[in-house]
Amino acid sequence: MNLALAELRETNQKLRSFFAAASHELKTPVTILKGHLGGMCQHLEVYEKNQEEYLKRSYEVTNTLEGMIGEILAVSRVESGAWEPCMSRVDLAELVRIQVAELLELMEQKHMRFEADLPEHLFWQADGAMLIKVLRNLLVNAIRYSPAGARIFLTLKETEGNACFWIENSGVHLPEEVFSHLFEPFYRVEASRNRESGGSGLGLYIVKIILELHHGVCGAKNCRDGVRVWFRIPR
Amino acid sequence: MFKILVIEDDKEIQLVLKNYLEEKGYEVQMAGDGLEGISAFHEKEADLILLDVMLPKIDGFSVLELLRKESQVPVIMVTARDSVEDQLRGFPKI
Repeated sequence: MNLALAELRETNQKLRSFFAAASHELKTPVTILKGHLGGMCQHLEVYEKNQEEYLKRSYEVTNTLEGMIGEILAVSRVESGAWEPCMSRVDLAELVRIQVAELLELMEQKHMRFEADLPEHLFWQADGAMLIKVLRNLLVNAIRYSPAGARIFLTLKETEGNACFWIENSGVHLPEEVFSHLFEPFYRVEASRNRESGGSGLGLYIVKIILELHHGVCGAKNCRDGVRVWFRIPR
Repeated sequence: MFKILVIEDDKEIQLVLKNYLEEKGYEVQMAGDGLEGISAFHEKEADLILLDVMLPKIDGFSVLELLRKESQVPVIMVTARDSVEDQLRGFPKI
């Protein structure tokens, strides 16, 4: 009974912290929007002269906001049990190919090179839609936080009853102390805090909670040329 | 001209503050993190500082503590961290 109560308290505390952090993160884009739109409504000179530029900037902020709200809803759906995994036999290699095809344009914009070491097929019991989200978040992160011209390398193979994924991006290393926090909600590596990268701060946390639903684990570390993120799902 | 130093890491919020303050005729200087803010203040003393709390390198509370060792320049904390706890944390340093 005491144990159940302690668990309930811990869950409540986690929820409170999550919502406090989420509201804080949402305040920044809202402040920016209010600032730019307020400047236009009050006919400030700089906004009158560059109205189109500030409308465009405001529109981009609404995109960021939309992304953040989407990620917060995804977390809430998974954690409340509303998005339960729907397990079926999926081809993991094919999921990778689909997701990579969707992101090729983004990689080309940054002149990135993508390479993969994939089996032709690897069938697994998993929720395909959820794993697509995991792959998308990890690949988008790799693209977002790598310099132009970087190389992204994805490996998928079956090892000791696990489907193992490695995603490696070149051109950037992270301080060792960040790796234990990387999958926490709203954790940002200091240099990326200015949000120029456009992340919501929830991408890797979503990866973690989806993998937990699959009894999987994930992690990250520096490798020779950059950062390697990995995850595995048991059969 | 009245000089305002803005210590804020979010580029877009920097821009909003700059636009509004310059419109009112203030001279605005920007710093993107806590340490840069302290150096900027040493280089060119400001009449007022607008200070964010969640900053890279050292946070706004620590910046305020360092500033107070050498100056009584007015500081306004500009932050989304507006809970009673955060306000109480900031007041003794102001």
